[in-house]
Amino acid sequence: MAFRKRSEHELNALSDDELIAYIRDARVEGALAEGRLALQVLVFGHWDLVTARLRMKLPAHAVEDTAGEVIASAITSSFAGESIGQFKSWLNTIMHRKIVDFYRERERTIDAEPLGSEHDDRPSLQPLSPDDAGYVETQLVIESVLGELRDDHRRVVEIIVFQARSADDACAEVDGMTPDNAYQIVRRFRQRLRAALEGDNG
Amino acid sequence: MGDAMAEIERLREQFIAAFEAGESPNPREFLTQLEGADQRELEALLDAYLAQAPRRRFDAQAFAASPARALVDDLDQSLSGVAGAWPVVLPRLRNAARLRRGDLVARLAEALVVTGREAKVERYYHEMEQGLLPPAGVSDRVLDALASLLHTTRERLREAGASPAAGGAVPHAALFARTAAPTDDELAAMASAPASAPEPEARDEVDELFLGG
Repeated sequence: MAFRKRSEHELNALSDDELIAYIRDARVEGALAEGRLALQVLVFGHWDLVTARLRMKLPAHAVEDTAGEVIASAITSSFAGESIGQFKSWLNTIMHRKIVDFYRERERTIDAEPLGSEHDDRPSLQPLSPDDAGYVETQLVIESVLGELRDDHRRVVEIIVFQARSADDACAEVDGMTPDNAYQIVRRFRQRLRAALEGDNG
Repeated sequence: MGDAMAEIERLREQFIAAFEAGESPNPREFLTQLEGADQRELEALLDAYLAQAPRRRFDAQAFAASPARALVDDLDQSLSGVAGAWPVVLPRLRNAARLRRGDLVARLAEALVVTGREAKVERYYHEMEQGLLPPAGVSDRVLDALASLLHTTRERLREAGASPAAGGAVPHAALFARTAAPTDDELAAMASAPASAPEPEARDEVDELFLGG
């Protein structure tokens, strides 16, 4: 199919995977400016999401470089055909790996450098999850608690808690749901999540 | 627990409202208002929200002032080159290690025991940062030395250098189309170039290190 130039407005409406396909097609056709605009839409769209997540996991000085590496790896891998579709889940996988790598490398560097060396620019505020185990654990806890829910209840939690949408949205999407029920489901999920984070898995 | 849940909810809503208004709130500023399990719960909720949140709409003005702009420049180079994410990763690692390119090259040459041939090492390293040097040809010795200088690992450098497929690379015709057509004088110079070009240098140890795999 012939390459068709799209406006910025149209590019905003494309999914991540459609954007990547568009960038690839644009480059093959020599439409470099069009490909670059789509690349800008993709990178800008994810930049704040990735940096905000990394800010919770890494010291401040490492956030932007790691974010760049995460987004670049996800895009170049998608171009290489290593990740077919689902750009976002690939981005999540790479981000997790980079966080793990960061702490492994830091462990090695700290072992190799004397305390108080001039390179020790760690922030006074330590990472909230002090190692990759903490990060993995939090992810597993959420998945585990979500996994205990029925499909319709799980969808309600995703809409209200993770997508920050209203109970009315949940009622519109989930058959037979009422705002009161949605509120109760979310409340029970939060209580269960809290218990699981405190180590009470009963 | 009711009070704690209300406080977590208040902070979660505040963060999301700021984020969705187009600001870049730092989640740490919200998390540090809590402690222990409260903090972990808010962290889990914010992370889950950010993992599912839709891409931000493109805003040319915000983009121009964002670090995302430099990333796009480097990524553009990555996608045009043959060296995966090296144009993104190498300069960032070098900056994080607080090394100027000249200093890095001098130390790299020393580590590879090729002092005196820094100019050639610099040319190859420049090609690595530009994404022009095929990673398969770069030896483990070079990557080990670089990894040590850049506080990383050979594996991470290899992984970053994984190359985009042919579909990602810009065809030669497209690259040529970016430049103006050559003038008659330039065409004449091109035609006579082979006759006046110097004999190719014999391949030495530096070439082997960067091209021989």
